[in-house]
Amino acid sequence: MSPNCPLILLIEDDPQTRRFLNTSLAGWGWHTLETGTGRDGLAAARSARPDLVILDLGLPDIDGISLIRTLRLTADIPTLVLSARGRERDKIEALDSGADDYLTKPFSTGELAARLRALLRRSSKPEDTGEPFVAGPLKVDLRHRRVYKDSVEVRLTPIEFRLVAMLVLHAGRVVTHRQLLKDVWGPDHVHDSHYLRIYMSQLRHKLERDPARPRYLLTEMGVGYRLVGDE
Amino acid sequence: MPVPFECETSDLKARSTLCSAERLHAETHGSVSSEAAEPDRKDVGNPRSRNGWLACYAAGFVAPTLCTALIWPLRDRFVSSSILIFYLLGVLLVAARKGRAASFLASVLSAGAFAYFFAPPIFSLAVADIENVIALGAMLTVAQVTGALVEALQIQVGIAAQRESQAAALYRLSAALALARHETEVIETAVRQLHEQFGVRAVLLFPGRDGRLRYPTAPPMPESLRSVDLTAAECALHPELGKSDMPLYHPIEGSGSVFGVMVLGGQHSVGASRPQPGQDAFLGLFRNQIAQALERTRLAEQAREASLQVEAEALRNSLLGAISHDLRTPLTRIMSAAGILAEQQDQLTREEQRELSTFIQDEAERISELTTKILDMARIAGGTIALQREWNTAEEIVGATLNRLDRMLEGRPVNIQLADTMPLLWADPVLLQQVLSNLIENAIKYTPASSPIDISGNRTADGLKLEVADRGPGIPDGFEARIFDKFFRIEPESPHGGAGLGLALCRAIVEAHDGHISATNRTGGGTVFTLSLPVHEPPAMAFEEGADP
Repeated sequence: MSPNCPLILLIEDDPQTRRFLNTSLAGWGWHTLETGTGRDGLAAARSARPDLVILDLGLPDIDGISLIRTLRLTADIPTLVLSARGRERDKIEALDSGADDYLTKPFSTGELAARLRALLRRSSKPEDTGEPFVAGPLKVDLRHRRVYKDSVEVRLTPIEFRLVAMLVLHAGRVVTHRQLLKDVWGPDHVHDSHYLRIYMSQLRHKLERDPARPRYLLTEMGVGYRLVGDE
Repeated sequence: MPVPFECETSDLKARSTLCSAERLHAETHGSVSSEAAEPDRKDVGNPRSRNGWLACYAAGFVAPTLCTALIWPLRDRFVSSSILIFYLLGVLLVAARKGRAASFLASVLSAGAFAYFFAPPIFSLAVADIENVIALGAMLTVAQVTGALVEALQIQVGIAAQRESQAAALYRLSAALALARHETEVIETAVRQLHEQFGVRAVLLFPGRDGRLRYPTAPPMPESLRSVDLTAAECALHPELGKSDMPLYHPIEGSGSVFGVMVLGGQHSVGASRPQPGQDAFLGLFRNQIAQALERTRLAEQAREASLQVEAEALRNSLLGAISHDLRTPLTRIMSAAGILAEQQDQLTREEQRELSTFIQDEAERISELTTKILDMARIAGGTIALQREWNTAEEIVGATLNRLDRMLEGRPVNIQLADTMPLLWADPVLLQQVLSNLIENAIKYTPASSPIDISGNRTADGLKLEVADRGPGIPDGFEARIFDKFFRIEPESPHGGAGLGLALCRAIVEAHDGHISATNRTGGGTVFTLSLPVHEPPAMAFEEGADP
């Protein structure tokens, strides 16, 4: 298996969806491995060591959330969750259990491709390579702790920087409020959502061209934030 | 003699006598005591009524004695008929005050005194003069008649007092029952009032789903259940099966049917007696009132359920209508496009194939959006709104909403003016986004593609205000409030579809946040939707941040 051709494990019980995903993934030049049950999926994740898992939450044999936890414990593979449940609580639970991103059914193939690429980028590029994150006018250089907008350095407070760094490390993926609060402010502050709002607003005013219509620091309403680059 | 309830004349008469004696006694002391006003329970065997009798006899004795003592020194100045009139005056006074028994005593003693002291021969009970004999007879007759008249009057006063107290009790009952909103409250009130008025403990039994009476699950006075016999109660519930001979089991009768049984008991309770036979009719009035109140709450409950059902049905129909209209159109397009692709692929150019695929994709996305919206509506409209409040900035909610509607906006100008003084919002961001989303979508639907949308936010004296304004056709006069009603559409047959739920949902969500939403026509044309939300004090930041990195 060449490194240019990532292997994606597809755990999905609906054969039609599996087939269509398979076609799409092959079209983007990725290999796939399909299973229809959580048990088979878990075995495949252990034996085949895929680069990424696409997991449907509504499996017949194993509860999706506990499968995410097991996957996270046995093999640290990026996981994209597909769910027909659109409720914020379900999304947050999946993400906080260890999923890296989610898509609510129905979704477009374009959206899926963008999410998968973001996840694969993270897995192929360890967090400390030091390449700056670039999106439009925005450039974040984590190694040198510098942030630029339109090539002009932007001065951030330590907390603002920690916040943006956390989002850069998870670029393209949603980070829940809880994860951000815990990482930036500490475990005692996971319920202080107002910290996050105020700092995110400050960040947008410093980094976005139009903070009222953000282009890069996006809100996943009720769930978290996502830093997106130019696709 | 007028009596209120014929069956218990003697009993009532006795008690009325007592009560009126007592009442008069009380009046002589300047006030009517509360016991006098409530004659039903407390006068039987009361020692004060014995005092009353004693006072009667005393008066009957004292009046003639006093008359004799007064007239004796003046006996030479008066003729005997004048002396007799003097005695008659005394007897009349006694009759007026103390009734027939006292006046009888007074008249007999007066006659004796007159015969002994004044009628010749003096110091003998014999009366020689025929004139004096006639006068004496007249006095005795007058005393008797007057006494009887006074007593009849007193009985009527007593009855009036009793009726007054019963009317007051009924009024108290109906006032208390009127306050009760639910059946359990009616039952509680009824049981309490029955206890206060009659000293009885009451249990109200109603049939369950199987039609058989059940013990109440939460009786206001549980101990009273001990003596309740469900079989006897069943007899009272079904009077057509044969008369129940249990006097304490009363059917609760609504209009036309018996729907429950009231069991009265508790004669062991302190200071209370069983309802007297004389109170049966009064108790019947009580029961009627209670039955009416129960029936009222039952009918209200039925009406409420019916209206809920109607509303749920209307909601379902409306959603079904929206689904069938809004989903079938794109589905039809997809099916025909997919059909062409599948069957005539060979005859299509590559360009035509690509066009059809894009078309299918676009229509499918429309369906997806619609489904999400319909599901959201069903979720929120189906029940009460549970808020997941968080601290939010208005800017973020506006921004996220616009991002979500990016495709629909298609580069339409959106002007955003949010004041720097906008406080944090303590609100459910997902629902608030839904509100803004519905308002902006409406603006997109009803205005031309290049028409601008203006969004502004300000702090106001008592909260904050968010406005979404367009330059569309505005709202016809008189519809500004109605557009927020469920299922209301200005043009029911408009091609824009919709179930008439969007604005109703907006209002429900905003009101769940203790806010207010309104629509007005904008100067220069168009509509302004205004959200007013209360401001909450955000918690303090537990730290201060200093220098830059």
